[in-house]
Amino acid sequence: MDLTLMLISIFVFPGLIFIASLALFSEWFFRKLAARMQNRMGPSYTGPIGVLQPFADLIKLLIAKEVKKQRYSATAIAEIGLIISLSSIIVSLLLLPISPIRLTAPYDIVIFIYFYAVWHVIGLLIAVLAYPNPFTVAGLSRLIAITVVVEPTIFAALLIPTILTSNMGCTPPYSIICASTYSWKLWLESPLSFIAMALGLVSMLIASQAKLGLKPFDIPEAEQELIAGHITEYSGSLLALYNLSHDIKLAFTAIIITYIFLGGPYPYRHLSIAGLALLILKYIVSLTVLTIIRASFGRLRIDQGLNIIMKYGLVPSILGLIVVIIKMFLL
Amino acid sequence: MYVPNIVYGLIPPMLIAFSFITPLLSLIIKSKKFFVFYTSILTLLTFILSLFIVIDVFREGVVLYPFGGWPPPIGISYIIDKLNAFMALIVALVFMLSIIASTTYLKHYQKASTLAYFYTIVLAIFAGAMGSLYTGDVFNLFVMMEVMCIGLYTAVAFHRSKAGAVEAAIKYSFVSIIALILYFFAAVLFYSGFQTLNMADIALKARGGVEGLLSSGFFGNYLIDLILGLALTIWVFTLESALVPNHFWLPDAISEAPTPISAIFPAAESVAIYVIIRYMFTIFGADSIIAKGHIREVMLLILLILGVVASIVGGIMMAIQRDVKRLLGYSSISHIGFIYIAIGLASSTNVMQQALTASIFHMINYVISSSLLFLSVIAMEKSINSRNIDDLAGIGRILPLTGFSIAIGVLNLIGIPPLGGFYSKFMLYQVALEASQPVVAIAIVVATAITLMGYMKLLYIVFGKTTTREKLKEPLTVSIPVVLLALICIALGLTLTIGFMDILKELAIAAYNYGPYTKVFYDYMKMLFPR
Amino acid sequence: MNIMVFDPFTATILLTSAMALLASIVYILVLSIRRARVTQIGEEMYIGGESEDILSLKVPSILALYWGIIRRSWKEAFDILRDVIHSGILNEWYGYMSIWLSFLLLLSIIAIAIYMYIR
Repeated sequence: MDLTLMLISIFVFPGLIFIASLALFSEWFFRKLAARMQNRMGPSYTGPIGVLQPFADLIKLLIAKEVKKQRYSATAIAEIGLIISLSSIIVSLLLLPISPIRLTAPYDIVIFIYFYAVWHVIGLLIAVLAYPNPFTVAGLSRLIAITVVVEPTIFAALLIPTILTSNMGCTPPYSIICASTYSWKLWLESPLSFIAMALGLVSMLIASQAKLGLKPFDIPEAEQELIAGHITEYSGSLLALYNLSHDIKLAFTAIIITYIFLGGPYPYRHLSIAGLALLILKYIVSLTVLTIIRASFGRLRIDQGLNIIMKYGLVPSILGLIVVIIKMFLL
Repeated sequence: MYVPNIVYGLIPPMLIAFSFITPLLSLIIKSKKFFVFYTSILTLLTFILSLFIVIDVFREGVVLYPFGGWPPPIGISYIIDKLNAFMALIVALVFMLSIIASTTYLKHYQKASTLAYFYTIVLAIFAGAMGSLYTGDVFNLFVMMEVMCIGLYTAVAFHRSKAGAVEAAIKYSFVSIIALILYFFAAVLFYSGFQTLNMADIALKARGGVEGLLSSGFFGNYLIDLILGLALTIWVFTLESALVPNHFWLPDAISEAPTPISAIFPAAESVAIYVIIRYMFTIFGADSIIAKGHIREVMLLILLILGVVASIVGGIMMAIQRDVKRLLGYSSISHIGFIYIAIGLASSTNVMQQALTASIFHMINYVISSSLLFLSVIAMEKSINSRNIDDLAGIGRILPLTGFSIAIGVLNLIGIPPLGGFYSKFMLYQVALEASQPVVAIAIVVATAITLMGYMKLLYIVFGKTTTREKLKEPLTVSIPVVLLALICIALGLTLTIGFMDILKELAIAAYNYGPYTKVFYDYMKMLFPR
Repeated sequence: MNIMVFDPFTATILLTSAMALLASIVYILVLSIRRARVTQIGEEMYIGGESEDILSLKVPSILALYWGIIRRSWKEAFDILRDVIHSGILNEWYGYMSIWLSFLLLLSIIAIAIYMYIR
């Protein structure tokens, strides 16, 4: 096993440096597009068209602002929690086809979900509990409530292309590599697989909107009734880490939707012109859809939000799974 | 052939004998330290003996120990194979650590006779548990389960002046006594149909091989006896292991019992789950007479459905508790649901080995993590004298070793890589997907996500800090067992690739491969009665 | 692009060690970049206009945690589970357990009938 290639994958591409820059670019794109849709200007002055604005925010928070300490808080625990939630997402990039060194294992979709969904939430939980405050605890309870409904949705939605590609003769069965390599074929194969992939895509979009904390599922975060929800007490380097992990989550979700549902660069190779163009186009399209949904809705109440996630997220993904079962095991 | 060493059959009689001596000793000896040392040394000796038995069985194969030299099937025999021996090792470890930690719990009682009373009960439960695990005889299993359960009823009612404890003990004992009487009736049915009470003998006869056996032939239409007896046995042991809808006694009993006894309850349930695995896979396995006509598949499918319901119901009830031990009781119900999901998925033969490996590994993870969490509750209870989670919040920062162990235990139960709980859940998903049941995989994810709500309350104890309290001294007799169990949790995950996975696969093969289990019995019987 | 296939347990250990390595490097980076540290002004809690010695419960009680799920979204499920099924009355528990026992006995009687009279 090539150790230097592994270290380059973790730190440079697609590790820390690449995904951080992609995340900052995605945040700029998201803010500019939402602002133009709402007839505002958006970031305009730092760098050309304001591209460097998120980077400037990050540097400002890290260097110029101070970390507020509360009497009952533990700053070290909060930093460790936020760093765990950040690195758990970066590490699960190693399982996708975008990394030069691809770790695969049979059934690694489960490992992927546990790093992306469970370790991330546990890291966030540790970080929020380190600053006890009525507002943070209330925000955290709403975050857990949304996670309870969103996680099965993401699992079921990611299972749909994985099970559909399991009989195409790919070497590790039920792995992300197989699902990403052949998912472009699934849209064209048969009507049942088209229906299943469409249902999976819809439920994945709704679940991502909820998991990223974008409107209309803005519930745990910035909320007038909870001052700022679970990030009330953060400032300085803690807020910088939180914003960075939030943006990395946004970029990562768009990458997942691009690879697993929309087909990635295949059938062209990664490094060819057509492949790269297709990849970038699909990434921008998924970011745009997430932004359009965000810019068009207001914020829902917690029980309304849970009902809508269950109705439009959990039910379509389970229906898609049933369609997959009918196609694979009964026909 | 040889008559095996007396070490194999020594543990339950030794424990029962010392348990009977303890009240007599309490009339003479009035010092508390004596009883503490006496019980600790006794349980340490039992743990070392069970360790020797495990090493012996892994080296030499299945061992049959006939009691008093009476040959089976006339006499009682212990048949110890890898599954038995390993589970007895885990149960002995949990008992030993609970008894060491009970020193702190009983510190404020002044009279030595109270300690003697407590240790009599605990030694009786220990004897019953080890006897039920090692035995190879249907009626001896009934006797040992009775010994264990009578100890447990008395232990739940230890705090006699609290109304809650007496009520929990009454409810538990009424339900469980009726259940064990029904199991006695099932043993009568087995005896009448098969003319023998030895488990290996029944395993041979259920597959139709009757020539050369001492208890030759059947009596009447044995199929009626077999099906009725098996149905009753499944009901009784799903009650002893708290599967929905037989789970109602567990939260009351586990929260009102003294906390070292609560740490023993997961081990007692794993004994009942082991009995179900023995009955459904070794004795009446996939090629026995009962599998024709699909009755065995239907029973395993019902266990699968009840397991799914149990995991979800346990998770939902966990989210509204405010008492720590009741929350851990409902989390036990949820995890027992997961174990039964794995047992139920083992009916399709292409995944039987993986499913049994998943269920055994999940059982080991559940026993060690739940005992760890209950033992840490002892330290917290002693500091605050309250079991309410609101009062306990933030204790984890004041007692750092206990807080670290609670965090490891909770993360193990949620199932996070790289701890052992992740791998057992991973094997569950793998079995569900390979057996073409993705809906069961989604049910497992839903149950895991729902239990996250309850476990967050436990993490609140470790991380949230509400008042500034002075530093408390950590009791040493609780910190050492608790840190040891946390290190075992971490080691269960990290040593899987090194060699532990092969040990688990051998345990699973020993569960459904009835060949060595019956061969040792057949050879021993043939040697004594050549016909 | 080399694809390396492992068994799932080794892959998990590799990924977890990668995560630990990344977390420690990022922690060192953040600790070295961060400039202005902590201030002590405004350290006490001041919530709802009351300072700390008047506030009795500094964080919400554990019962108020999952209001959205318990009181609104899944209200019927929680009410049925808490008040109807787990009621604490022993006779009702006996009822549920006997339903399971009679179901098992019914199943065995059907199996016996199939074995005896249809074969």
